[in-house]
Amino acid sequence: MVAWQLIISLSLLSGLLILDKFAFGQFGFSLPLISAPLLGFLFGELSVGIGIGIIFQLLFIMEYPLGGRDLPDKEGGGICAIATFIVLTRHCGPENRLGALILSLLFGLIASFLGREMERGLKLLNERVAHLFGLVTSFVRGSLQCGALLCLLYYSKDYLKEIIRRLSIKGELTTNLLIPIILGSAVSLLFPNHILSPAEKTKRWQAIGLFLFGGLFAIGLWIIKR
Amino acid sequence: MDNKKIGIGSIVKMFLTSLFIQSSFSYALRQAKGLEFVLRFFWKKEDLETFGKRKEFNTNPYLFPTVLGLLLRKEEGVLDTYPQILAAFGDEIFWRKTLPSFALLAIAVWLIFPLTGAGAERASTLLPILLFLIPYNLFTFLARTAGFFFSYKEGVRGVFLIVKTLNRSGKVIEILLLYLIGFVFFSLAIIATQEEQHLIFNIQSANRGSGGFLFILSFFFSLLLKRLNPRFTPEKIILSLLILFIFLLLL
Repeated sequence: MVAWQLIISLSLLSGLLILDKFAFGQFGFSLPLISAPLLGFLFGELSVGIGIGIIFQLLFIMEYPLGGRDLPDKEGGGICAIATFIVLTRHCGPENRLGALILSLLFGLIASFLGREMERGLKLLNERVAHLFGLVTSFVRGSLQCGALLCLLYYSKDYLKEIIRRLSIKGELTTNLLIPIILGSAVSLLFPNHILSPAEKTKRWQAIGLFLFGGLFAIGLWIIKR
Repeated sequence: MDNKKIGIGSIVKMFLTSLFIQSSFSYALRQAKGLEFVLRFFWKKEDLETFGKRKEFNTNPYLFPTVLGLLLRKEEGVLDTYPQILAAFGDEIFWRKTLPSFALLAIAVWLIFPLTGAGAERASTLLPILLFLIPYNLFTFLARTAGFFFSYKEGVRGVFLIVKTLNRSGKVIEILLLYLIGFVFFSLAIIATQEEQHLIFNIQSANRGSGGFLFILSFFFSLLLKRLNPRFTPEKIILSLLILFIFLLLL
């Protein structure tokens, strides 16, 4: 598949999956746990899709939209992470999969925070549009989030290739995915509704979260180098 | 209170239209446009004109049919209290308890069965997502249809019946949640301390017996904590598990 075909198909699928978040149904297809493995399966990266899905699901497992609160967009983040991984591995080759994975997790996280801002804009826009047109705005929002990120990656692919090569540590891809899993799950399970949601963010919780994050990162690196 | 008759056609219509309740969710109006959209399928034009345009309406999407049932009965003051109460109750039951529980159930199955090796990329590896999709959607489907059925048929008494039933299932689901959090946490901890780690979670290949042990340990630990203090929340359980894990490591 040519690169632009890949980007367009991933963006359209992302838009469709995001519809399930609140515009239509709420069946759970947009959750990272479901959407990332599905996209991974469609593009031949099932086990990484499952890994990314689990990481993003655990990272935000206790975040729930109480009273329509704005939360980081875990759905968009998970989808963008697996889409980034698919595009980067096609470009950088199988020997650099680990670097591509680390970078895609980072981009996924950035996308989840950008997604929250996009959603705020969408909720303001929705006041002015007809009810069912909200489906279109939601679809466009999902596609744009993923499509813009992938276009950006595609045009900076040569710069990213070097970074990815350096990030790729020797060893099994599967072995090294452990760090983000431990990080993500521990942080979110221990401090739900504190670290990542702005409503209850306090300096104390932020400090504890950063301390824990740093500590776990060090433990993860130590485990890998051991 | 009088009992009203309800046909299967109305339930199907309610289910299909209620899927669109949040299509144009916005800060100012919340689900008000969605409510108007759904009512168009049930009420005549003159009824809609009497009802007027709502400035704001918000409830949990899975319990919206319960509010709709009351509205269709044309009971007095329905929109003043019930949407808010059901919103808070629904968020707690569906998003704080049910969704994480079934998501963790799927994750736990992926943790038990190895995902590395030749079979890793096969479609059958996707099967655990059904452990989330089927029970979660069945639960929400039942809440939607039963909520509509009972609130329309029996009015406020029906709403109390639904809340009572959901509350009971919420308690069962909370125990499942506590147990699964314990299991996932222990599994991650064991993977982290193994000599050779595998993503995703090949605990079986290295520690084939540990899966069953983990299940039993997590189950009893969660139940014990719940028994000791019924107000134990998943967050407190996790903290206790962390302390236990550090203690075990020190040993």
